[in-house]
Amino acid sequence: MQSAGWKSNNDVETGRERRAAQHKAGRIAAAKVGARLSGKPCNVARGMDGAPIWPNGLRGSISHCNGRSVAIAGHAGNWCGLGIDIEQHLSVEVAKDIAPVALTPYERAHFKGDPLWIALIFSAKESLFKALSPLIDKRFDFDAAELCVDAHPAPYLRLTRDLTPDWCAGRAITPLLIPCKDGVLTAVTLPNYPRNVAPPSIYKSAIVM
Amino acid sequence: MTEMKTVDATDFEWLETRVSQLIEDEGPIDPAESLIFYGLDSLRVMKFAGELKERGIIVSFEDLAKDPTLNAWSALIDAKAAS
Repeated sequence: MQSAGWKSNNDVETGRERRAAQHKAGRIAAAKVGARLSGKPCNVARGMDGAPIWPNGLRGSISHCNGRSVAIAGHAGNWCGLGIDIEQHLSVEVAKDIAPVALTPYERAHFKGDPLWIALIFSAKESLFKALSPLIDKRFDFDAAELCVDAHPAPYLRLTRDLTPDWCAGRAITPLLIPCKDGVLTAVTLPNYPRNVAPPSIYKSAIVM
Repeated sequence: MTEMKTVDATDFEWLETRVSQLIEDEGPIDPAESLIFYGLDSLRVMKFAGELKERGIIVSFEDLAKDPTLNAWSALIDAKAAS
């Protein structure tokens, strides 16, 4: 698994120009990461819903925020889903605006109005959606999972409802949560091996920003 | 009276203006075109869902994200306001 980042030119004015520049930067990041994995030029197309279409044998996702784009990809044989997301830091006001929709009652009670946690939760659920939705061929909302901090060694996303027989309520997924100077980066990586079996060492991953 | 206020406050003109502010773009918006192509991102969709909730219109992020066009959002808001 590899990831790559790309910074687009911020000298654009309108929302559509900004989005076009970000998408272009995202495709460059995706092409870089795909080429690193496959050892040959990689073209990542864009589907009708805006989601990337990776060449055969690869899976991954792209995220954009404030002129930065990142991409993550891996071999489909190793990973059944990969999702990445970057977000800017949230102001207290924006965190308050989105908390009623982005967080479950448990999360609101546990994390209060902390803008950093709210950004991490929002981003982690975006990453989960990107990794899991194509795998199960089903869309789901932000209340389908909640970030839990309990006796586990690391915060994890717990599904709150049965999405499929395999992806049922209570299933735990440990996301990567990285607070950075400019915002947050999260990723959800779903390995392609049976549950309860330790991954082989070749599944070691690398992140390059 | 309350119901009238809600309907007045969320008509198509209001929606178009609010979305223009959200995507920071003053140009015309094709009501049938995906707002993703106008610069809408997931955080802005989430902010808008939160704003609608404050106005008493309960729509989920997914309701908005699965068909992000002015036409679809207008129909969604009308349906929720009428229910």
